This record gives sequence, C-alpha cells and structure tokens, in this order.
Amino acid sequence: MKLPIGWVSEFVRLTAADRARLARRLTETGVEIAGEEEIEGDRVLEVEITPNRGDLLSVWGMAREISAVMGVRLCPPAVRRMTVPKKRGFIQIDRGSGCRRYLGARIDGARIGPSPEWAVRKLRQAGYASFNNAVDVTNLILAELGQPLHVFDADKLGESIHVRRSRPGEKIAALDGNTYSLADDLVITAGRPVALAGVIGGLETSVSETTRNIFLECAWFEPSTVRRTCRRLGLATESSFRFERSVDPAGLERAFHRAIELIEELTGGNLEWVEAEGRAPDSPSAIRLSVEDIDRLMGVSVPPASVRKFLAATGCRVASSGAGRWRVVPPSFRPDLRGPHDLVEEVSRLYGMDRIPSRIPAMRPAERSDHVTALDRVRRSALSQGLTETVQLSFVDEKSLRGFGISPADAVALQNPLSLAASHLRPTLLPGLLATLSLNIRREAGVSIRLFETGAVFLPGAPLKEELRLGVVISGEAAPPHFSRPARPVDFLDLKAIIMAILADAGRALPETVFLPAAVGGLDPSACAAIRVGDVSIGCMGLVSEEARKTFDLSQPAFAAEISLSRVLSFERAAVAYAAIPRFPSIRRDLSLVVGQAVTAGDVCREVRAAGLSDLVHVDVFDLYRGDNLPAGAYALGVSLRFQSPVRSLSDEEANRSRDAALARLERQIGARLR
Amino acid sequence: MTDLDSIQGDFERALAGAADERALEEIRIRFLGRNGLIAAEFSRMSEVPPEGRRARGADLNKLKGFIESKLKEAQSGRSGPAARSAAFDVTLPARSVSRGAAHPVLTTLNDICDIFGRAGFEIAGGPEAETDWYNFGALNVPADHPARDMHDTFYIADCGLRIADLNSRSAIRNPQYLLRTHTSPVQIHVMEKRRPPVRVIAPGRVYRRDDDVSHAPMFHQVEGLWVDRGVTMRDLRGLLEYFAKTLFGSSVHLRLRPSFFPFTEPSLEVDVSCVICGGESRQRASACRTCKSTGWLEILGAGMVHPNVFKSVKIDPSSVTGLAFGMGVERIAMLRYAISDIRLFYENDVRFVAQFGALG
Repeated sequence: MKLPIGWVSEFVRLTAADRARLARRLTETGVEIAGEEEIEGDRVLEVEITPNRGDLLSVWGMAREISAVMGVRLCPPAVRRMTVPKKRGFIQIDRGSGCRRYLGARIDGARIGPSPEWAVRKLRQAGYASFNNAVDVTNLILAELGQPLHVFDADKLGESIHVRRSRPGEKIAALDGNTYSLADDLVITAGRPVALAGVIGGLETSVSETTRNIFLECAWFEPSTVRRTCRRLGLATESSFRFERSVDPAGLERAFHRAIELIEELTGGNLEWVEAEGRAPDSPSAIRLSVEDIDRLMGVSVPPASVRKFLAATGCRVASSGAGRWRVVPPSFRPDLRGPHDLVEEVSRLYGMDRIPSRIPAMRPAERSDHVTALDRVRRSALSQGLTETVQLSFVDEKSLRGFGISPADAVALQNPLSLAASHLRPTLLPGLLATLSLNIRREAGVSIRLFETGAVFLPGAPLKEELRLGVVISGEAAPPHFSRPARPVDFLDLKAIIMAILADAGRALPETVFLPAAVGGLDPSACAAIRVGDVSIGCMGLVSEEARKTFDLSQPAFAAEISLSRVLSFERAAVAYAAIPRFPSIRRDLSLVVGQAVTAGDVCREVRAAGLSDLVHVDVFDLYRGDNLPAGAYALGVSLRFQSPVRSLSDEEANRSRDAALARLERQIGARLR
Repeated sequence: MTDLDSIQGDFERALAGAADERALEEIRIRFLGRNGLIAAEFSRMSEVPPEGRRARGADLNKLKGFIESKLKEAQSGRSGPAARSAAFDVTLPARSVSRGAAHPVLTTLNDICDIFGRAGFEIAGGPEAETDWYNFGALNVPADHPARDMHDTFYIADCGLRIADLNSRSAIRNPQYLLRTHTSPVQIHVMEKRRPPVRVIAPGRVYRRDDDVSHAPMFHQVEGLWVDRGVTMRDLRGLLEYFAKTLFGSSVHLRLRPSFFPFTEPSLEVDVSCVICGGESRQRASACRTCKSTGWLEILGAGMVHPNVFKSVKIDPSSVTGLAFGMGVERIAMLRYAISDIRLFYENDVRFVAQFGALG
C-alpha cells in the first residue's frame, strides 16, 4: 500500500527527526517498507501490511500506528455532526446474510464532473486513478479511513434496496465490464442485483455524467462472505481486500459523514436523508493478561508500567486487576487481538523484539532415525558411483507420461496446474531425468552424463500414495576420455553395476538381487530387466526405448533405472558381522560351455549354485562369444568356479570332482555342452 | 602332474627374493627353460585324461604368459631407476574416473539439518500431498482466512476414486488433497504422535503456484519445532543465532522483526546481516545487490506456537510453550553460493551441479 507522508502528517505531527527514522521504526515494529518514491512532490512509502492488520490499510490507520510506535501525538480527523431527516424503510437487510450494518444516504442535485486538483493529487499519491467527483470521494475515503464505500445512481435504484443472498440464476454486469453468474453471494438488489456486496458495483446503476441524484452506501460486510465471493469469481478489488481483512465496525459513521460532506462539497449536491440499518457493533471482549503470560513467552520481565504503556499506545483500554494483572479491552479496529498471546505480541513489538536477549540451547546431538540414515547412505553411494545429483520438479505432462506408456488417467492430475507442461504429479522419476539428460546432451555439457535423483512419486488411489524412489540415467562414454584407453559407450552392465552397488550400500538385509528379462514402458524390450530382491519387485532398468528417446529429444542411447526406496528401506537394517578372512588357497576351475540362445548367464550360474557343490565360493562369467564355429542357435559361455575351504587346502581332485558335478547338472538341466 | 597354483606360488616367492639380474635369469631358466617346470608339465600332458587336456593346456599357457610378463616387468624395473624417471612424463593428464556431484540445494538442506541435529533436533517428515486440515486448518488458518493469500495453492483433481472404488460399496468420498505449501504440516503430524518435549526439524519439498526469477512452483523448506516447558523467545533467538553463525560464519548478527503467521503468536521475521557486504553498504551507501543496500537479508520466519495449534493436536496450551521456525532452502543456498536465478537449481546442468563437489 502507498503511504503518502504528507497525507499521514495531517493526522500525526512528525518532526524532521521523526520522518527520518519513520521507515526504520515501522520495520522494527512489524510494518515492512518495500520501497520509497516521490509522487507529486511528496514522499510516498510502499508499506507491506500483513493479513492480520486490516486496520493499517488506510492513511488514518497508519497514522494511528505511527503514533503508537513513535509516541507522537495523534490528531483524529474532524467529523461534522449533521442533523438531517432520517429515512425509514429504504434499506432492508436479511438477517444472517453477512451484512451487519448498512448506512445509506441520498444526495440530490449533484453535478458529476472532474474532481478538483487537490483530490486528484491525493488519489494519485495513494495509487488511485481519478474517475469523477462522486466516485473519487469514495476512493479518497477508502484511502484515508480504510472504509470501502459505494455510490449508486439513485434514480436507477427505485424505491428500496435489499441486502440479501443471491437467488439461483441471478447475474450481474459489473463495473469491470464482466458479467458474473451468482451463487449464494451477498448482493445489494433493487429488484435485480445492483452490486456484489463489498466487492464491486453494477454497471447499470453506476454514477455517470448524467447522474443527478446519488445513493451512498457505507456498510460492514462479513470478511468470510466477501472472501468466498471473490475466490469463487476470481475477483479482488480494493474494497474486497479491506473487507476480507475486516474494517473497523466502529468507524462506519466517521467515514459516512466525511463522505457525505465531501460529496456535497465536490458535486454541489444536497443531502436529502440518511438511513441506518442493522445493529451497532459489539464491543470487543476483555482479555485477562498477567506479567507471567508475558514472561512465559518472551522470557523477559517487562516492567508492568511499560506493559500498560505499550498496550494503551495500541489503543487498548487497560484496567488493573491486581499487581501485574490487567483487564484489557482491545480497540474495535483490532479484531486480531483475541487472547493473551496476541497481547504479548503487542508488548514484544513495542518493547522491541530485537532487544530480547538470547539463550543458547544446550547442545546434545539428536538421534537419527534408521530411515534418514539409510537414505543418506543411498545418496552418498550414488555420489560415489560418479553420479550427479539432480532436483527435478515433481510435475510431468501427458506427453512424457505417454512416452513411458503411462495413461494420464493413471497419474495424479492437478486441478489448477500452472501450465499443460506441468499437468500431473509424476508417477515415475524417469521423465524428469531424461529431460535433464537431453538438456545436458544438447548443451554438450559433458561426454559422459550420469544423473540420479531421490524423491517422491505420486500414485493415484484412495488414499493417494507417495513412494520414495531412486532414479538413475546414464549416457555417453563409460569413463572420462583419456588418451591411454579406448573410448567405450556406457551399456546395460555399467548401469547394473551402479544399481547393485547402491543396493549393497543401502545397508539393508536384502535377499539376493535378481534381474529378470521384462517389458516396461519407456524401455526397450531388447535390454530391459525387472529387479527383484527375493520375491519383492523393487524396480526396473534398461535401455531407453526409441519412442521415449523421441519424446525427450534424446540423440544418443541412454540407460535408465528406477528403484523403489520405500520398498528397499522396508527391509531390516543389515547387521554387519565379521567373517574370517580365508587362510587357505582357493582353486579355480573353468567350464567353457556351449548353450542354447534361450539360456541366460543367470540360468547357468543358478544351476551351478544349485548343484550343491561343497566349498563353492564364487561363480563368474569369464567369457562370452557369439559367432561362427558354433552350432546354430547356440552361443559360448565361459564360467569360472572358485572353491575355497575355511578349514583346509582343497585338493585338485576335489575341485575336479565338483567341476564335473557342475557340468553334469548343466548338461542335464539346461542342455549345456562343453565347447 | 603338479598343481599349477603351487608352481605359480613358487615362482612368485622366487621373484620376490631375486636380488639382481643374475637371479632373474636363474628364475627364467628354472621355470621357462627348455627343461624348466612349465616344459615338464607340458610333456606330462599324456597323463591327463583326454577330456581335461584342453583345459590343462589353456591353464599352462596362461601360467607361462604370466611368468613371462612378470619377469619382463622385473627386468625393466631393474634397468636403473634414474633412467626410468626421465622417461615417464608426470605432467600427463590424470586418468580420471567419473566423480559424483551433490546438488547444492540438498547439500544446504543437509547442512541445515546437521546444525540443528547438534542442538538435539531430530529429523521428521510428512507427505507432500496433504489435506486441507494439515496444511491450513490445524495450523490456525481457517477456510476464508486472508492468510491463505500468502500461499497460492495447487489442488489435486479428485482422482482418488477410480472405477474399481466406485463399484465397491465402501467408496467414501476422499478429502480433497493439495500440495503442501509449507513444511509446517509436519508440526501437526509430529505432535499427533508424540507428546512434548519435542525437538524436530522437518526438511522437504513444498509447492506454490508461482513461477519467476525468485519463485519456483516447487522449492524446499526446513521447518523447526521445539515444544517444552519454559521455551521462550530467548531460546528462539539463541537457537537461531547459533544456526546463523554456524552456517554463515561467526561474524553475522541477527535482527528480529515482528511479522505475522497464523500458526505462531508472537510471530517474527529473522534477518541476518548481509553475508556479501557485511551490512556495510547501508552505512557507506555503496551498492550491494544482494541486500539491496539495506544491510539485512531475510532468511526465515519464526514465532511462538499459537495456542490454537496446540489445541488442534490436543495439547493443553497452558502446559507447555513452543517455538517454530521455517526457512526456504533455495534462498539460503542462493545466498551461500551467490546464485541469482532460482531456476538454475531445477535445470540441473551438470556443469552447474559439479561446481559444488561430490562431498557437498
């Protein structure tokens, strides 16, 4: 809000020194100064008012605050008492509709035209445009006293107005040029809706050059009622902004009389009658406050005399009810003061929050949950695998979903997305990672791009489910280029090594990890695996499919993996126990096999392990050959078996026997032959 | 037939004991000579059963190659260390491996958690998709309260009910979900589960419907909550002073200003003296872009837990007091590393992330 210093000086006496420290003092006491400028030759502060302080949304309100926080004298605006005929029956208010009080005045014989220079200048300083003398008065009062007003062309209203909730099917063509369909909104009606209460007036009854007789509205509308209408219609006006933050119910008369006075002065019209409907404001209830309440929150003993002084400065009526105890009645313009804690804020604000001394907390390290530790281990493991950590937005678009073979109906949609490119919550981390990969490749950010992210994905259901996942993508060279080694692009097995290392580092007691051929959306079926630990599926990995590459504009092959950390971390923490370092030599035996195409390396290793060989400690693949000199539909696979006993040296004969047993099983179970 | 492993063992022991060129030559003759051990094993191939001959031959060749290369290595190593060092160019580029790089926002987030961890704050968490009650209602932000304007909220389309659910008899309409606009809902989750004393820190993603140079629709916050008997604003100041000095350096000081948050009363905003100009620009009128020459940087919001928040979780507000605070991690990372555009964080250019190192 713009605060012209010249205008506010009409209500508080500010010396040059006061003006110099004004901005700093307001900041210290809770009104942020966002900027300062000169408009029409006067200094204007841009003040930021928090939503609890609707009372500060006017020049007069700020004058009151400046008086309270700077201890300068306040000169309230003069109000002329007028004696005029009282009208009855023009205004009708529905009980419980959201309008507590409505003051109306009829001013006849007005000449509508431009406002005088002084009024235009003031409006401009406060950030308002000038329309015509009648409307300008309402904005002047709004800026000065914070009370929204509205002027109607009285001749278009007829014999009465009714403040009520709108009826089904009612509409209003508003001053902003839009027509709004109403739904249980608080409206002013004259047979048909002529204003959205507290928000905006109707076009048809607005004051124009041809208007002669004016009806002035000065009312108190319930904050939540005004807010609901604004939110539903996507509207926000200077008026609604103030009603939402509650205007001073005791300030209506002052604004009303001041407005009448100014309209008469500026338009030359004459007040015909006034009518007041609704009930007078409730007086705020008293709050009991004690020095203990203050001490308990502030940790500072503020002298009782100061407490009294601070509260009185903010407009509260303070009555003593014993030593260090008070009965405090807040002013009508501070509905935010409801309990002792609110008063403590007032005291601490004026005492100076920055004066409160510090007490350094006793240091004692917190316990770390197992979950937090495990996640940290996963993250550090990924970093040690040479991966770059990324933070992706949690949103995806439909195109990315389809690129992963996910129907948008199977993802969580946002009701009010910022754009179509962020229409859903991600059900997988991979679209974001691939988009980032693509960006880095297009920018030639590196020849070897290796990325990961840990974060939540969102899965539809009742209730909606969040799952913590790890996503990894790699592309480009397998290692940073060096003249001494040949360049080699990354492949499936590079990614598999990364995933296995991270799973091992997670420190959970996982059953054996198995990679099974699988079909997964977004991954190429020629190199795609489901990852399981025991019988729990924890994720997938593979070559990014052509279709997904097209979706993300990826010019080169890439491999991607996604693991459910929620599932991995649901396993118990692995207990680490020392195992004796082998003291006896190991014996290696190799089997060069020819197997059918359908047989996997995993099948071969599994069968070797299943042969029940004693002292078998390791099975590995040492050679893989596809090509000539082999029977059709077969390929060559070399597996090495390592035997080692913890208690003695094994003999060659024992190793040979075990090897032969393994071969026999391989021949029997999967039709392997020695090469 | 001799076990090849034992031949290799003999060779390795002999090699280790070889003192000079002559000893190496003797080893060569013993193992590789015409009548050496390897040749002897080849000549005994007929003792091997036919089906094992092929593998035996391969193993013998492998061992022979191994011995040859080891001997060559040992000989070249002994041809004079002085001559060798001149031959190796130590200025050649290193043969590096891929190094990881930690994201600066998550590094900052972890650092913040560690600092509070030392002061006894345990890490807590909560869902990112929340109900209105946790994000607003329980935090003393009733429906139709203008404080909701401070949080432009993403709502989740009512997707909870799927065809299968609709057909089931137990279908109950879901509460509408929204994306949490702050980490404060974790306060509620924690206090629902645990009674005071409570000291927790809650890091995580939050969402606001905003997008420009200084606002992203998603960012990270760290929330802190300390509930106990006798917690006061003095503790708040002390705790935050400890935090700011640990993170930004011992020369920074704090400024507390009154502010407004529905879930704290009193509420305040905490500024640190500018980490770039040290607050100097205010006095000297020299321009500082970081603090806009005010000398202060707003880093977090804080306050004493509002009694209505305690009531939401059925804690008697007269039995305890609490302090709470929340900060934007991106903002702190931007100050820490002098980053001017928040969007750099979500672009994830590897050349950006790599600047902050693998250890973070």
